[in-house]
Amino acid sequence: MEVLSDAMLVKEVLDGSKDAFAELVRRYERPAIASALHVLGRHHSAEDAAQEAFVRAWRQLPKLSKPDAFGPWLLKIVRRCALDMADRKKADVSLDAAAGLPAHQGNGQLDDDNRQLLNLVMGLGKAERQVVLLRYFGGHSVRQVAVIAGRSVGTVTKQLSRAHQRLRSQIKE
Amino acid sequence: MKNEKNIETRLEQLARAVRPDDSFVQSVMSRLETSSDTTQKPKPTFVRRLFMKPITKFAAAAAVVAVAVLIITQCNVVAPTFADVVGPLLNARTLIYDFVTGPEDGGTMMHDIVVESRIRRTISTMPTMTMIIDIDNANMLLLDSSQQKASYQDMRGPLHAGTQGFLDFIRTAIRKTQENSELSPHNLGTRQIDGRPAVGYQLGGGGESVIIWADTKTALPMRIELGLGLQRTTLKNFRFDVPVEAALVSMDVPDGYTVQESTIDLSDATEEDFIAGLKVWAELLLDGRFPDGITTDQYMKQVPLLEGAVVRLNIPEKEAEQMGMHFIKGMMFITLFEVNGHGRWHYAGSGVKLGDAATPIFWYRPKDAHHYRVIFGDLSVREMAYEDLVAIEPKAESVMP
Repeated sequence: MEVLSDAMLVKEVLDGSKDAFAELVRRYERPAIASALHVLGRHHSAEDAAQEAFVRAWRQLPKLSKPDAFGPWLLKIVRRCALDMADRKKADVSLDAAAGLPAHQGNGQLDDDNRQLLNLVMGLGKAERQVVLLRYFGGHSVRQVAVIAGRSVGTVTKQLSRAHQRLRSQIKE
Repeated sequence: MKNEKNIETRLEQLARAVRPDDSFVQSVMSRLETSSDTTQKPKPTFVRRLFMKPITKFAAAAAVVAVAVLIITQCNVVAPTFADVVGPLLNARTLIYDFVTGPEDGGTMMHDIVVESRIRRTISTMPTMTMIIDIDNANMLLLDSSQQKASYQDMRGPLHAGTQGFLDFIRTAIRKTQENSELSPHNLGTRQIDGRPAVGYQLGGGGESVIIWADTKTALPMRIELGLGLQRTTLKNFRFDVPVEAALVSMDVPDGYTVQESTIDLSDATEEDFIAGLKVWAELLLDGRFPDGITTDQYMKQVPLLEGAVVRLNIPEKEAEQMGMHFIKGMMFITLFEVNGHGRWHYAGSGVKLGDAATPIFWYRPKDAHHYRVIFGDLSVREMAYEDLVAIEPKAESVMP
């Protein structure tokens, strides 16, 4: 399936297309939840934070000076929303800890291996992080990632390969 | 970590663990519907508006001229096999594609949404501009999202002539097939495009050629390569009959935009405009030397740079606009060269210093003329016989018939 670049969708949104924004939400829902999950650790909270981030992104979209940077810009908003939510939920988390509940286990939480890998992914540089999130969490082909991010297929291939290498070496450590 | 699984498999497993609720998208969209802010988008900041002000007019003009970049000239070698391949294009109610002018990796990328005789076009080098082109009525709605401003541009004249819709081109090609069944395209065989086998047909040759690559299984066109003189254009990422919201190709001004009266005069572009544009290019952007090339793509890439250069000059707005318009009309002169019946041109100014009175930088022979019009590095123009031109510029012998 052919895809439109983020920049094109952003322009359509600014011209009044809600379908275009829905497409951006579909495209980034998993990367956004993953990004929030990295901060919050709990899946349902991460979904809430990701939803809040999309609403904020919609309102702030006219301020986005580089439409092709939508992905990294959105993920920054997600992180901000997740941190705000973490502040609000600090009391709840403390109560969980006090009750001796194990962190990040059970329904809606990542196991240790996945949590560690997610931490490593979120620690990548923003260009590499975006291609990894789009490729694996968004389920797009390399070619589609290139169109979405407004980069060449060669650049995306190199960035993915570097990200794999980095993750592999960090996992070994 | 406990084991050393393949990193790609690990990432896929992690991604599967991050599964959104099925109603995630719907929930977000519902929240937008109920949000009181959805129709009140923030206005651009004062600083940004101030920066944009002096350059708006010629950036808008660049966008207008850019619509004529896809010029399809005479193409008289087509055959039924080709018509089979272009059938989906002929019958598609909506068509979406990208096209790149200049080198495919790094050229200017445009994105078109075609619905009947309307085209919605966006251009990578002008991210805040959107053009809605009404080909039937020779009219264009230009939207600038950075300032929420809109203007209508009359496209009658050479701009309209140079802005043939892509579907019109296909229809013309098929009509010619019906008129002359002896014509046949050159079959280029098959190659892999985006991992799929594609069959290619080449039409025309020499300075004007069209190559169409179509999926061997579906016969859907996948890639079209147009060559017109030095101009190279590649169309790709075709999507057929995708539902398109009517608002996207509406000639009505979107909510929140204010309409400005267009004062852009693009009814014509002359040799004088071209020369004035070259002077602006050399003086403002290249330290007094002429550019490496003057294809539409090369012009388009300069527009954002010129915007910055003009702002830095800190000159009156009117003067800044005039400089920009010289440049854009120079681009228009080249873009519409053949439409205006000027024939072929040759540029030889790469690296030549502005003021060099001995070196010809550009020449062409106007239609039905015996002599060439030759522009020199000092921007003087002389009419010269072919022999005289070759005498001072031997390269002219090989580059102009």
